Amino acid sequence: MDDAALLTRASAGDEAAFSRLFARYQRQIYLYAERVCGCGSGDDIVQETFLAVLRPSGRFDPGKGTVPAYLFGIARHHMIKRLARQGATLSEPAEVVAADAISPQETPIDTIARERTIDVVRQAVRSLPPAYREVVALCDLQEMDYAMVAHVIQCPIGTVRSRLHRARALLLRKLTCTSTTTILNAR
Amino acid sequence: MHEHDDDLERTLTANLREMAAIDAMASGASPEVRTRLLEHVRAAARGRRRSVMKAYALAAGLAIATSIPVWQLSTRTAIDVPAQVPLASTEVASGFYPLRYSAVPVTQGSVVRLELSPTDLAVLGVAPPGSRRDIVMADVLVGEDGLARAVRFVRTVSRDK
Repeated sequence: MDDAALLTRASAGDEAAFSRLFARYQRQIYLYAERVCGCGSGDDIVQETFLAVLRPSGRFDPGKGTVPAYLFGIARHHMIKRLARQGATLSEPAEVVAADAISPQETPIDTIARERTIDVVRQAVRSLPPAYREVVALCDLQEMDYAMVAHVIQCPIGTVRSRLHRARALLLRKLTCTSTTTILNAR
Repeated sequence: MHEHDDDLERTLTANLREMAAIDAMASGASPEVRTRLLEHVRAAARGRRRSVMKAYALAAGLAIATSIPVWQLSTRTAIDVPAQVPLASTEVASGFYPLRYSAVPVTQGSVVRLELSPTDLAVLGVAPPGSRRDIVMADVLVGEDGLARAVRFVRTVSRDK
């Protein structure tokens, strides 16, 4: 059964269809929320997203996009509200703050275990402004295509590309500043 | 320098992919979230069933409420005129059409000959045969309570042919 049929049946209260839809997308939405809003937000965002599927007001329009884009859009809406409570926003910052180095974990970097390296990268991603964190999460980590990301974050594809470019540049600056023998050079 | 930047880009991409692969092993939302959501699905389904039952009950009520007047209307044609009301030899008349109060029981009634304008007829809720727009002659059956029960239209015809 395709996504749209599953969604329609799930919205109508079909438990089996709802379970399948949930199994198909909950993890992706969970990771998106955790990566953008931080740890502990995944459960809430997943719950809010799938609750919206059950509400009569939240009807999916196949003419406007795909089911995953629809679900990610709902998740994003709740993430924006959550970030606003923390005084943050998903809008792109007017000016990118100079790269603040991630606190060095260990030196020499050559001895850092693979997991440790990934932890540093993860930390660097988390330290990005939310708007940049979001495009890295969707494009690089979730491997969503630009068109779908543009649909989810409701901006032109060109903006997605440029935002991702700036996000990666900032990420590189953060990581190369981390240590004289950098995480990136360690590979 | 440019080559070095490309190397950094590639390494960053590789690191991000590795991070994504590690994350992919995560199960996602906790089982409690799924349990809570399924409770909502069941509650929503129960609510929908109740709504459907209510809609059926409402439809049944409406059907009964409308079928009674329809039945009354359909039986109105069977109204009994207490006595044959004579007509002049030059007159022809339609049958008696029931009016709004035809269902109110009547023990004694009388027939009153009236000339009715189209407005009067509209007040009675009837249209004269042939949709005539001028004054028509009508016999109205009035009960002892003064309520009009039925009406018939009378037309004078010329006998000399």
